[in-house]
Amino acid sequence: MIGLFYALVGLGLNLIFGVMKVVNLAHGDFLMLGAFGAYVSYQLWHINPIVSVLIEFVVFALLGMLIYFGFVPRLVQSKDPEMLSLILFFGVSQVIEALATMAFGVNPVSFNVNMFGPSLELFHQAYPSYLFVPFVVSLVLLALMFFFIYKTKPGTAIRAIMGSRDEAAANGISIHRYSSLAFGIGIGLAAVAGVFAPFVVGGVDPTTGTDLTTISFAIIVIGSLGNPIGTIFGGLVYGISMMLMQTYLPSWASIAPYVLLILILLIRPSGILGRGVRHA
Amino acid sequence: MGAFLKVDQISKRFGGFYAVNGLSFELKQGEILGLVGPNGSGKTTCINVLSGIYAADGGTVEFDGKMIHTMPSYKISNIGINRTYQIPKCFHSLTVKENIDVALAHAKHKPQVDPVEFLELQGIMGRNAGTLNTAQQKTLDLARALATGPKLLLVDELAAGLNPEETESMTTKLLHLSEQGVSIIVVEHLLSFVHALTKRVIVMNAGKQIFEGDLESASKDPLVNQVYLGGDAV
Amino acid sequence: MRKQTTIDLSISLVLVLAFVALPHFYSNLTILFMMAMYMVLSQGVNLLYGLTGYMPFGYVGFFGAGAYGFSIALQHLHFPIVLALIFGVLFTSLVGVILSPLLRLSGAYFAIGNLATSQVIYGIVANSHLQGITGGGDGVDISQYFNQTASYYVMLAVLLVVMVGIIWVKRSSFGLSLQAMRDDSVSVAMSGVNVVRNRMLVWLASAAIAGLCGAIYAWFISFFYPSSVFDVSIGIFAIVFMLFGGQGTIFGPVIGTIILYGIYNVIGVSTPQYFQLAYGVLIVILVMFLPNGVLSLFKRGRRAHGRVLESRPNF
Repeated sequence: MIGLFYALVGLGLNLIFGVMKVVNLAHGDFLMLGAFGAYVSYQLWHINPIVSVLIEFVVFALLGMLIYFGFVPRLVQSKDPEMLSLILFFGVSQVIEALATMAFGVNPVSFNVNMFGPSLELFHQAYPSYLFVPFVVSLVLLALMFFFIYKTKPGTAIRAIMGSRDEAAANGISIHRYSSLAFGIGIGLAAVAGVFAPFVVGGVDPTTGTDLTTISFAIIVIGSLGNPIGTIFGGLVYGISMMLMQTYLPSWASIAPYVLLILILLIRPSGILGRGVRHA
Repeated sequence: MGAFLKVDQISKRFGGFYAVNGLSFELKQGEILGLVGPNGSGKTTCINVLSGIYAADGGTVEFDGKMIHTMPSYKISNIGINRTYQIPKCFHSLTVKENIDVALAHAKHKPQVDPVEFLELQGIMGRNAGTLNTAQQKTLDLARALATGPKLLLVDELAAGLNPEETESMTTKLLHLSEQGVSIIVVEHLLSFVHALTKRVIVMNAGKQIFEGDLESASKDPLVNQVYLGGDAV
Repeated sequence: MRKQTTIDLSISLVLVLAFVALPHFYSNLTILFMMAMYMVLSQGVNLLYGLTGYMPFGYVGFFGAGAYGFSIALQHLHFPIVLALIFGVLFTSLVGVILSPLLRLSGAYFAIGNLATSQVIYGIVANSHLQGITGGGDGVDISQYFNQTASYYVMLAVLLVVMVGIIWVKRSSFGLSLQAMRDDSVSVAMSGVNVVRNRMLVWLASAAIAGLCGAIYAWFISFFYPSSVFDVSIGIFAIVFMLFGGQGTIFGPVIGTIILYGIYNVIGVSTPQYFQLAYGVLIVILVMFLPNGVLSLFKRGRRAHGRVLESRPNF
């Protein structure tokens, strides 16, 4: 169940990497911002986080597109875009962390677990709402994303760009328009996943971003980079193995995601569901 | 004197697809062999196996008395096999001189010819390889190969992208090398280029040899016509 | 060529001599030490990234391993300082050998995998089960060996050695083959270069440099927590300094360190957030506008000039 949430965490990052070959090291920081966004709107205006999900998706998607046009076109022209994007987004992540620290302080924020409101008490017997709601929202969002990616025209264009940038361009697809769209959606998804992060991973503070980024990487690498379906699988594997680790080997649980990530990178660099790398 | 290069039943698979499937042939010292066939017939894969870029999935390759089918590329280069590439693979950030120096520094044999003079590269020695045109880059690939003093040279689509005069001059050069005792395997689309170099060709299709002999007989062979030449080529 | 090498060696010597003399004029030895250390570290990154294209995002893993190898040799094995430093380097090299399968990865996969390994080393060292050996999260106290002056001069000696090493690598055919390897690993192998061995050598050299830095750093401060010697930003600083100066150049990392580390110390001390903000913004600007480093500004002028001279028709 938590696995689906992790799938949502990874999906945005994977979309961005798949389309642009840009490694968004600030992914976790957008998650963190999403969490704070929901927190602040709840504290100040009593906005239900489910509503925040919608608002944040739009706001962050626009923000993502802005970032795209600011950075990516220039980056792609450079000598080693993949490496430079790592450094660039590390810088962005530092900026976000610094600003967030100034705005929110260094204390972790955890949410009142009942803030999803009474409307969900119906389900209280089976699941606590703070776990149930992320599950339902993740499911709905993942379903929507798949509909978007596989069934709609912009989604097809985005997949075409993932396949081959040059050929997509040759077929009259506007790379910048759809790349920026994918980038925006990627950031938007990060923020939305962030809304639920406090419930699943515990408290969130401005420095949580880096850990969340690594977790996201572990997830998409498990699934295979650039493959959206793989991400869901990766999320599930990650969620289950984390739960097992925490139950049986709690003191080593903190390095578990890294170990998992390394093992998978070494055994199957293209991910569990990835097609074998062909050197031709 | 027996065969200098002896390729026995080599195969190379990508997933379930056999790019080369049980290919065998022999080559004498100083001999030129043309390797032709339609796209995807396994010519380049064959070259990649011979040069150690791919490990063969089956079969053996014997060169100059040594079994080489499990050797890594650098060792293959050291024992005297080198090659050019269909898509040039120069060191883009290095100058032409530095490109050749890399090969010279690791060469285990004395080059038969001075690659710079032989290929007339004097005028561009100081230029960055990345700024050269395709024909120049292919020539540079050949220069690097010659710098290691190869006894067997694998030439992959060298004529593509050269103009007629350049092709002719290249033909003369390769013939000269073969007179020096260098064996050469030429993978080529441009049949006139192959024709000018050698009488002996192997026609490949779907990873297998379907014909061996001279080019004229190849054009009369019904199987070759069916898969490749379309009936009226050459 | 020869003349250029002499010039480069002289500049390196002057640089190190300046650092020898500086403590007489400037009392903050820690800043000087750190500056020399970062020069060495970013040369280590330069060696790996600038010459082979592998980006060691978790470079700090080697640094921390060196610090701990050194401390363990002092505390548990009661080695003298010099032997302990060597032990630290050997220990780091061993870690490097264990991690060498990472070299099979390329591009972002390597960078992320490397980052993850540094976190794993950190996790192991800081784990409470190993409290008896590493001190766990409580940190390491080797203050009975505290000697800032000696450790400072040892660091300078290392700086000199590393500079000479880099100059040699850049001028040698080994260095040329590394650069060629970065451009095309297939055709460099066909030129007779043992790619796997060369890569391994550079990887281990780079690891050893970081390990040595970590060991001398441990000696210099003599009391530290795992979180301080495994702080990812140590490695990232080294990368940023190198990029800022100019990757693959001899003096880029030195210039990058002097300028950026200098700036950091002016702005950095008071509030960590502002420091982090400024440093983040700087990285962004750097990547956007100076992806080839400060030194590329000078080179660009020269290269353009050269091209005009050489662009006569050929063939």
